[in-house]
This record gives sequence, C-alpha cells and structure tokens, in this order.
Amino acid sequence: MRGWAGLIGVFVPFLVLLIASWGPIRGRALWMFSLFANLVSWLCFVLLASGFYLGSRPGLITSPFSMRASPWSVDLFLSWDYQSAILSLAVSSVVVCFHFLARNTLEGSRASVAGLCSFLGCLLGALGAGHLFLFSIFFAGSLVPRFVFAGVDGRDRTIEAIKETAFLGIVALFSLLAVVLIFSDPFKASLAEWFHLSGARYEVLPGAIGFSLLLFAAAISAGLFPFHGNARKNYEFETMERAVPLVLQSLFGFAILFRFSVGLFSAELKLFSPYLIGLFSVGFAYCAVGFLGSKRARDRIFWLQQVMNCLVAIGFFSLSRKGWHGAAVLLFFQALAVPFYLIVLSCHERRENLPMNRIAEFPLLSLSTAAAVLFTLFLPISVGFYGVLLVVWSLVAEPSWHLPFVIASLPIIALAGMGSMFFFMGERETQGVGSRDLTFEEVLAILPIGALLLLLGLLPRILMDPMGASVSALLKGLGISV
Amino acid sequence: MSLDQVLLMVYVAAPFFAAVVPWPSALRGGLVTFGSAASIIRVLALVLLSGTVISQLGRVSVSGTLVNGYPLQIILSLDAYRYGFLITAELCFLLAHWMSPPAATNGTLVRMLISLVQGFCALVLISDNSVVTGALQILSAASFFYLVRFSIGGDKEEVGISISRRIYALYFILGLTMMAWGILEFGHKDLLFSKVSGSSPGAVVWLAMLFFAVPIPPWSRWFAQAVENLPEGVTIAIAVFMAAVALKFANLFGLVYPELKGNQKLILYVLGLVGCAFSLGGLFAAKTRRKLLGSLPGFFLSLILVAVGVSKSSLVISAYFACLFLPALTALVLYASALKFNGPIQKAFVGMMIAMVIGLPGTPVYLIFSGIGARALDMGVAYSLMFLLMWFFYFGANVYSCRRIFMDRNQPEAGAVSDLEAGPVSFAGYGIFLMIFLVLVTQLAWRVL
Repeated sequence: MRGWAGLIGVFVPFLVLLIASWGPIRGRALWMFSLFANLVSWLCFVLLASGFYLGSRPGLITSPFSMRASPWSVDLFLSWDYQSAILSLAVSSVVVCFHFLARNTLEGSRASVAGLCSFLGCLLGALGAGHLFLFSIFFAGSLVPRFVFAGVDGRDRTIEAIKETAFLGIVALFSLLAVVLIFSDPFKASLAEWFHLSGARYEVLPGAIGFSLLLFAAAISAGLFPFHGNARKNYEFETMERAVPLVLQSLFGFAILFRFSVGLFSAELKLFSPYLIGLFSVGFAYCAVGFLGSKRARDRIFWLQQVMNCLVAIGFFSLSRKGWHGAAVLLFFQALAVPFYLIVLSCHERRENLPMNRIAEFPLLSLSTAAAVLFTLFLPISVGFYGVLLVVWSLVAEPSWHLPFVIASLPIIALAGMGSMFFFMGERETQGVGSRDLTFEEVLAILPIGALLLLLGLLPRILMDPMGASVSALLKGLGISV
Repeated sequence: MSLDQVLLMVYVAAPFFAAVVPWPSALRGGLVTFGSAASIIRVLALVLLSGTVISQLGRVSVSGTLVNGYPLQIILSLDAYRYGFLITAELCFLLAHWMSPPAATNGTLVRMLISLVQGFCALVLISDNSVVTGALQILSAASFFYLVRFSIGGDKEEVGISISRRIYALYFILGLTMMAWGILEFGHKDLLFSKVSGSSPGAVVWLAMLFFAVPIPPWSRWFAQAVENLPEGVTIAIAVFMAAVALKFANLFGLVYPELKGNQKLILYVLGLVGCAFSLGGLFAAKTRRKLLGSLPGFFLSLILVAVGVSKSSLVISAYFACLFLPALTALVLYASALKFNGPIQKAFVGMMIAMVIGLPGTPVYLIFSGIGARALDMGVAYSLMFLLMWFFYFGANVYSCRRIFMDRNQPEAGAVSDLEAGPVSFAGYGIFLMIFLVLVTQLAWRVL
C-alpha cells in the first residue's frame, strides 16, 4: 500500500499540469485544485514515510508499477529508502506551504501553477527513481517546467540568467545520459568492448571518466562549488517568492550522488574521495568568507545554502557513518530551512523594515524572522546543528590538511551570522504596506515548516535514528564497516 | 522517576515555560510576573532538593538521549558544589526580573528573554556532556544577543549593538571551542567530562577557554560598557551567566586537569593580576558612581584567574566563592549606584554592603582573600608580595570609593539606567536579605565542600 502511496504522491501533481493546460479551470479554482492535489501528494508521502516508523521498518519501499522495457533487463521502478522518502515529504511540505505564500501569483498565472506542479512531480520522481535512466527522465522533465516557472516573472537581465541556467541544466542532462548509455547496465558490458583495444596497457574508457561525468552532472544540478554561480541565479528574481520552490533544485544533484554514484562507481568513489573532501573543504571556507562579505539578506541565504551544500558534500565523501549521517540530515534540513528562510524573506520584502524599538508589536513576524535566522545558522535548536556536528566529527577522527579549513570556517559563519540577526531583511524598495504583522495566509505558509524544524531540533531522534539505520545499510552495501 | 528528579525537571523547565508562554497584560509588571514566578518556583525546587544534595551530600541526575548511536546525551546533575551557586543565582535572577521595568524599551520582551537566559545559565552549569554544554553556550549567545539588542535603544543604540555583537561572538566561539575540545578529549569515550591523563594540547585549549570565559580588562571593555549602559536587570543576567560559565571552567580544572603544569598556572595568575590592576585603575578613574562601583565585578572576575593560578587541590574554593559572590555583588552595586540615602533601610543596606565588599571575617570576600593568601604564602615570597600588593590596592580602592560617595563635596553622579524607584519591591530590603543569605551560603559551602 505504501508503494502505491509513493506512486500516487509522485504523479498527482502532474494532474494539475493537465488541468491547468486544459483551460476552463483558472484563477482561484485552479489554485484550490492545485493546493488540494499537493495536499494529497503530501499525505501520500506522510503515509510512505510512516512505513519506516511502523511495523517491520523496511529498508526500501518499492512502487508496484515498474517499467520493464527493452533493452533494460532490470525493472525500472520507483523505490524509496528512508532518506528519499523523508526528502520527498520535505519537498512536498514546502510546495504546499508555498501555495499560501504565493496565492496571488498562482491565481494570476496558469503557467506558474503548471510549472510549479510539474517541477514538483519531476523532483519527487527523481528522488524516488531506482535507476539512473529513470532519474534522467525525471530530470529532463524538470527542465522545461522550471524554465517556465522561473521565466514567467523574468524581467530584462533576469531572463538571460534563466536561459543560462536552463542551458546548464541541459549540459548536466547530457552528462547523465552519457553515464546511462556507457557506464550503467545493460550497456556497460557491450559498449566496454567497443573501447577495449587489444594489447593496450590501460583501459581506454576508465570508470574515472564516468565518475567525473556523474560528478559534473551532480555539481551542475546542485549548484555545487565551484559551479555555484548557476545556483546564484535563483536569487536574482524581482521578488524572492519564486525562488522558494526553485532552491529545491539542489536535491537533484545530491540524489545523483547518494543514490547512484555508490552503486555505479564505488571503486572510483573510494579512490577520489580524499581529493574531493579537500576540494569541498576549501569550498566551505570560500563560501563562509562569501557569507561574511554579504551585505544583503539574499546574498546571505545564498552563501548559507552553499555552506550547507559543501558540508553535505564533505560528509558524503568522508565515506564514514558519521559523515553520511550528518550529510543526510543536512540535506533534509536544507530542503526545509532554506525555503523557510526565503518565505520569511518574501514576507519582509512586502513590508518596510521592522523598527527595532517596536519589535514587540509584530510578534509573529519577529518570531519567524528570528527562527529562520537561527535555524539556518545551525544553532542547536535546529536539526542542522547535529548534521554539522556529525560531519565535522567525521573529519576529526582522521585529521588531514583540509581540517583547518573546516574548523576555521565555523567561527566565520558564526560571526557572519550576526549580520542576519538584526531583523533588517527587506532591502528591496518597499511599495506599499508599511509595517504590519503576518497575514493569516503568511502564517499558514510559515508555521508548518517552522514548527517542524523546531520539533526536529528539539527531538532530533525522530529524524536521526531511522536515518542512521538507513545510512548504515547503504554503507554496508558499499563494503564500508560501520 | 523519583521525586528529586521531578523537582530537578521542574527546576530546569520553569524558566523556559515562562519564556515561551505569552504573558497576559495583567502579569507584565509588578511583583508577580511569569518570570519572577519561575524564579520563585526554582528557588522552592532547590530548597526541596536540599535534603538530598546538602544533608546527604548526594547527587540528583536526569538524562536523556538526543541521538542514538552516538554519545549525544543530555546529562544534568546537581550536587552540593553546584547547588550553592545556583540558589544564589536564582535570587539574583529574581532581582533581575524585578529590576526590569515593563515600561522600558521592549520591557516585556526583555523580561521573557531574561527568563530564557536564566534557563540556559543553570543548564550550562549542571550539564555533564561536553558537546551539550558547548551547544548550550551557543544558544545562550543567541539569547544574550537579542536580550542586549532589545533592551537598549535611542542614544545608546550603537553601544547596544556593539555589546550584543561581542557577547554573541564570545559565547558562540566559546561554545564551538568547548564542543571541539570535548570531541578531542572525550570523543573516544562518552563525551562526559572526566580526568585526562598526562599533559595534552587540550589543556592549552582549556586554558584559553577559561581566559576568554572571564572577560577581564583591558581586553574586554564590553563588560565595563555593559555595566555602565545596559539596564540593571540585563546586566545582572549577564553577570550571573558569566559567573556560571567561569565556575564551569574553573571546576573543570579539578575534574579534567588536576595535574596542570606550573607554568600554565602561572600564565593564568599573571593574567588575573593584570585584570585586577586594570579594574582597580578603572575604579580610580571613574566619573560616575555607577562606573566607580561597576569596576568591582571586573576585579572579582579577574580574581577567578588568580585563584585558579595559585590553586593546589582539585577544588578551587577561592574561585568558587568569587563566582558565588560576583552575581550578588553586581546586583548590589548596580542598586547602590542609583540609591538615594533617604531612609533607614537604605542606610543599613549601604553599611552592610561596605562590610561585605571590604571583606569582614565571615563574608565571601574574606574567604576569597584568605584562600588566595594562604596559597600565596605557600608558594613563596614573590607570590606573597604580589598578593599583599593586590589586597592593599583593593582595600585602598574601597576606601577611595567610600570617600568619593559619602564624603566628597562633588559626589559622582548616580548614572542609573532604569527607574529603580518604580520597582515592585524595596530593593534595599531585598539587598540586605541577599547579603545575609550569601554569607550563610558561603559559610555552609566552606564547611560542606
């Protein structure tokens, strides 16, 4: 039953795409239908995730529908481990909340509703994809709706940025397809013969190339250092509203790493991981300094997301239980905390800056602002704190030259974080409403994510215990003792 | 769960409850607010726990697992050593609540945040897990940032921003360092504070943490600025927290590094003496009564380093008394700096305070100096001479203060920040009670520890 729930959860958002394309339903009715469909999807993922808490706690929940097609001898199916199920739930929650934040925008543009829901469907499908080919289909499917959703609001220079991002997405897709067609089953065996030169001293097409292509695709789609300039475009919109679902794009990249790199290139992963930890440690320090130098709230959250990305990558390439556990927790945390911050930032951009001496007159906005900032700074009231702790701890166990970069960057982030703590978020010229507290719809957009983050911060076991078991199982599959 | 554990849980949870529950407008000023009620509940809980902790010299502990698979556990334990400090600290926090007028800038918010730091203050002291203690310091850093930031406005806003930045940076970095140190020293076991054999790089990290946990002049001017500019309630909260953190680090000396090298202790001793000298220098140069009296907490903070620097046994009793005395002293001098000597209670208050500060036998100051003096005599002529000089200057500074406040024609201005006359209690009467209580606790601790 839970497999069905996952399957329905993935494909229900596409129903909204069909309805929006059809035409007669529009405006408030379309918004309500979209909200309903996304709530159904969310409920499906709640049911799916509950499977990891109740009963026999399965390691993998597989959908009943599989696509067995020639030349693939294996079943192409959707399957969820705990990590992907909980990430799907987080993504779904963000999109439901986004409906309340952007009701006016969505009611006024069918293209936006269609783009949002199909992007969500593709992301959910990619998170559950059990084979790289299936992942590539969903990834390819996400490019157009993403372009549409971002481009509807594009103005002047912004539209150029969106084009560039879409182009890079296509490049990542080609990399993925190359890996699918050369390095994964069933082509791997047959095509390897093509490149095998008799009498050659070296393998002509080593796995290192495939691993590099996969890594490249992951880095581009996650906006990962040193390809972070791509992700920067999400923060150049007229308003921050549209950036909320688009920042979830990074999950595509990390899904590639966590789900496929281990199975396809385990030897290369072990071989190159020390160098990659070094790269991302330097990247971590670079992003921390970028965060320190940021003057605007948009820049700060961008660099914070990059900091999280680098930490996830460091944890992943540490190939240790602590590192993977921390990285998985941070990835989930990122999927909630960054959109949460952006939702709060959107609310700020609709108002004048909060006057410090009258802060108590706007309790909801003040509280949500403080919460958003403190969560993203990895304070111990957020589950992100435990993620960072485990990632850094995994490095301390085997100190190397890159450890000082990580250690020195942590205080920099703490100090830079002070710039975000002064409640002055809305740097944009305000056209309108002056100072006022959150509206009911804004509360509906903020409260669920904020409450979930706080709950998980206070009771991290809820998330971290099953995630630890899932991570241990994955590492055992890789032949790494835990 | 035993009754003692329930009481400990009530003690821990009360201020957090007061901090997160919206305060009805009828309970925002006056004698009973959610914050002051939480303080009273905590005092009562501690009194009820005294049977186990003091009479039987036992320990009350509660623990909970944060994440399975790693030694990430919250372990809170209360013993006689911590008990004495905490009960005094609670009475100071009660005063802090009462000294924060609701009509001040963001008055209710400030009181709620005082409750929050009150909760963290006790947790930092009674937590036994190094990573959890570090995490609590980080949370305290953020709480203090907002507490300071919200409590000050108008002309002094820039000073407020500066202090809030510094206090946040200090405790955040201390918390981070504590976690890193904990992982390095105890990561292979259970992350609980325990004795480390031999000398290790961790000892140097601990020395640095102790030094930074005690904001002594001339490096930590922000504390002098805080005493001078922040509302009285907020300053008391900062002083109590600083004393708790300093006590935590001083306590770790006996627990983790009882065999610290002589030259490492000498560094602490010298730094402490420098801090004492600068504090007393600030007192002589002060223009206002608040600045003049406000130099004394800095002096006692520096004495913590001096006490650890000359210590021998695992229990640094002089540092303990200094930490015990510091919050109450800060509260007393803040009130004394704003006091008008127009009634018998006020006059009695001032008389008792002078007796306390000068260090009559039986008072905490007497015990602090006698402890340090005895060790200085043991350690040789140089230490004895330095101690004599320090004590002489301290005594001279007190005489100078009394002359400036009571005898000079051009008396220094008061320099109060809040309207203390609008307070819901007679602060002079409460101050007298606090001093008597402090002497009792000190005497009890002297015998029990």
